[in-house]
Amino acid sequence: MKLSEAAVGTKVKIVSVNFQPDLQGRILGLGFVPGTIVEVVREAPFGDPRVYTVHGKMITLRNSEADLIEVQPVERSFPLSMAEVGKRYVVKAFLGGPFFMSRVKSMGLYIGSLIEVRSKFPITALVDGRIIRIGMGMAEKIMVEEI
Amino acid sequence: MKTVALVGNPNVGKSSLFNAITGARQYVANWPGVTVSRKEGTKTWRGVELKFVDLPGIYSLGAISLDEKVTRGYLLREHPDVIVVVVDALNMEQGLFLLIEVLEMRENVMLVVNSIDEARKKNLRIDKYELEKHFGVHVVFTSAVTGEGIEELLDRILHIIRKREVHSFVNFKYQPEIEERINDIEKKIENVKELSSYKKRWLAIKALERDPEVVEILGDYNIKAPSELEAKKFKEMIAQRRYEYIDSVLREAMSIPTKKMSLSEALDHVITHKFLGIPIFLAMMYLAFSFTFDVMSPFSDLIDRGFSALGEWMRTIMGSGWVTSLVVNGVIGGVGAVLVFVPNIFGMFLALGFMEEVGYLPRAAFVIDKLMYKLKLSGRSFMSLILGFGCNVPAVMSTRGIPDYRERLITILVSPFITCSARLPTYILLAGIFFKGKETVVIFSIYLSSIVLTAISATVLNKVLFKGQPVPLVMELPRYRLPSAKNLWLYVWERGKHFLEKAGTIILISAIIIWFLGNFPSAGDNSLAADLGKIFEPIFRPLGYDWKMVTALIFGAAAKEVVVSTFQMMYGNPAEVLPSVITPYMALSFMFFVMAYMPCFATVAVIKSEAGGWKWATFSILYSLAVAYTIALLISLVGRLIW
Ligand SMILES: Nc1nc2c(ncn2[C@@H]2O[C@H](COP(=O)(O)OP(=O)(O)O)[C@@H](O)[C@H]2O)c(=O)[nH]1
Ligand SMILES: [Mg+2]
Repeated sequence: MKLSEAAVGTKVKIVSVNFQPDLQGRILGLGFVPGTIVEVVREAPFGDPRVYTVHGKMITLRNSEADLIEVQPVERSFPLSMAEVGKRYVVKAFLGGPFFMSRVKSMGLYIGSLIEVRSKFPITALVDGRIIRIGMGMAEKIMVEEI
Repeated sequence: MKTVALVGNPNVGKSSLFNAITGARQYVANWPGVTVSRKEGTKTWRGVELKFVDLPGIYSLGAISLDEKVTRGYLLREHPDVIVVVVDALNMEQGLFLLIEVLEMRENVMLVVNSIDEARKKNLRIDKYELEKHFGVHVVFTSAVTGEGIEELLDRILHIIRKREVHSFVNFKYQPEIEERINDIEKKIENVKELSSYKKRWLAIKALERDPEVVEILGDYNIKAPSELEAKKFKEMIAQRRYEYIDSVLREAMSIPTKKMSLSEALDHVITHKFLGIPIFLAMMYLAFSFTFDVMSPFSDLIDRGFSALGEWMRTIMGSGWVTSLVVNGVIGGVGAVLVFVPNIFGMFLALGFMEEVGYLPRAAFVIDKLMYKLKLSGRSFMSLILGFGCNVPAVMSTRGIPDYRERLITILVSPFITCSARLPTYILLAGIFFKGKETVVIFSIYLSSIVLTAISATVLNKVLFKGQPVPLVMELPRYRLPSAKNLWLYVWERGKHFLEKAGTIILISAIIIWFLGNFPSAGDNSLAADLGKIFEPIFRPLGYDWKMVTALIFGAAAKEVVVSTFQMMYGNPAEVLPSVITPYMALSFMFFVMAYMPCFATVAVIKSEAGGWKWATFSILYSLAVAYTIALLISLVGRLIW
């Protein structure tokens, strides 16, 4: 997964950093090195750039830059928006209000539902033998764990 | 004389330490990238003369951006006697990364952990001896604010100079694969006499990373670097290992206080909020302007009355005659017309300084980056441009911190459109006469237009001059800090002083010259100034300006403040005379002309030196004149239709 896809508020672990040589040195120097945990702190108006905490510093990166950093989730549960295609997940929690809750219910999603992600942006997934479509905004509020 | 270099990440307090030690008064700001070239100062300590060099802040010792080049070049070639690496007590990691790089490159390095006062307030304990042990360097805790630790630092520096002791940084090893490659290269370097001034290990590490400069040096001796793909892997591994080491040392050396939602986070949550961010930015700007005009204007009025009284008094004691006229109308009138605006200008610097000092600027850059991105610029050039509201000269100079040449050039070329404080007197004067009660709104809209104009220019230049490529925005958000009164005053005074100096030099001289031109061979329509103004007047006829206004524009090119001095001299009492000469929309068109037209002499000079040559300076002059004329013409035409 790319760092730009990690949801706000989550923590991820860096797998690789793939900038052009001219910027690579500075990015590594700032602490974006493989193995490091990065927290996605906040996003600017229009969702770009975003602030990350890395090795105690708050650093801004544009999404086009965060695209160049490969990461993986570290927390056991994370938003469905960060799920990978082809893997299976179990729903652990919903982070929305009453309106959101009634929508997920109408889609047939419950705590404990099994989800197999088929494609992304938006997410299409196999749930109880049916294919459903879940928008990325909604997917950010559905916490899942990999199984 | 011994030299001491200060190295560190941006915003850790190098310049503050430099000031505290040398007594220099270099402005420090709570945002990265203020020190753009190196600054030097001396201090005699226990009989030894020490030269301190404040270097630009960097995150790594690569040689890509201008900052990195300056700092690395200095460390590599000038051989300072002591290198002091400064890190921030509250966030040492990135600083220690740089320390490792410096240790690999040079001897006689020591570590300063600064802002120890803030660490203490947060109950953060740091174990000095763990740091000394694991990095093999002297460590001193300092606070540039309270002065704590500065004497100890100076003593340690002398200690290093006297003993010339070589610390060994032996505990630290890279992964076996890397160490093996380092060894291989070191062996080859050993045989080359010419390379003995470099540390072998450093050359080897940089070769593995394919550092362009080192690859070239080694290439001369047939020592080959790894392939690009390999180098990328090595570079990642090297950085990873350094951070692992730093983390392991800090786990032993630091007590981590329990974390709670800090004030900084709470503030950030609102100030850089997804939806509130931009409205807050606009509100902050508006507040700054309203402070500049509404709060400061009574003081201006006071000074205005002072100068009128002074003029009257001089007239009574000197009688009439041309000397009196020179002194009263020329010097007191001309210079006084500018000095009246001192409170506004100081007020504007105070507002700007406050925003810089608390750490708001990088946040503003973050919030509006998406818009800057559309212009193929970044939040970084936005910060340079913001400086232009004070004066365009430092704005142009601060572009040195921008790594990308194209972005840098465009920022330089558009920055004169940012309306500097020298143009403010014209706005205040004309808005006060023609838009009474609505001054703040009118002037705020000129400022907004100036921003829009800058933005449009950036887009156009990008399209015309370059096939615009977006530039990265990798920026640190510093923590919020309550500005110290001293630093804030320093900020206001450093800039305000420049304005006062101008009043005593270029503005005074211009005032005298204009008085002579305006009074010889006889005052009024037959003067030399009239001749000059009338030559150009036909060009300005479509705009509706009379020759006096044209003359003011001509002299205003030297320094924009001179526009109001000229008004004062030509019209005597502009507030009474002007309404019968021009209409409000012409006044508005004139204000916009002043906002956009050619950069002043000082700005032209820095554009020439920073952008490299007369080509860009000339371009800037012609381009801005054309833009100013077009805008002013539009306003005049539209105004004529409406009124
Ligand atoms: N509390 C505290 N603030 C400091 C200290 N040193 C620097 N600062 C503040 O940190 C900011 C950055 O300082 P500056 O000297 O410009 O950092 P530089 O970029 O490394 O030169 C400024 O707002 C300073 O007032 C310190 O020892 N204690
Ligand atoms: Mg500095």
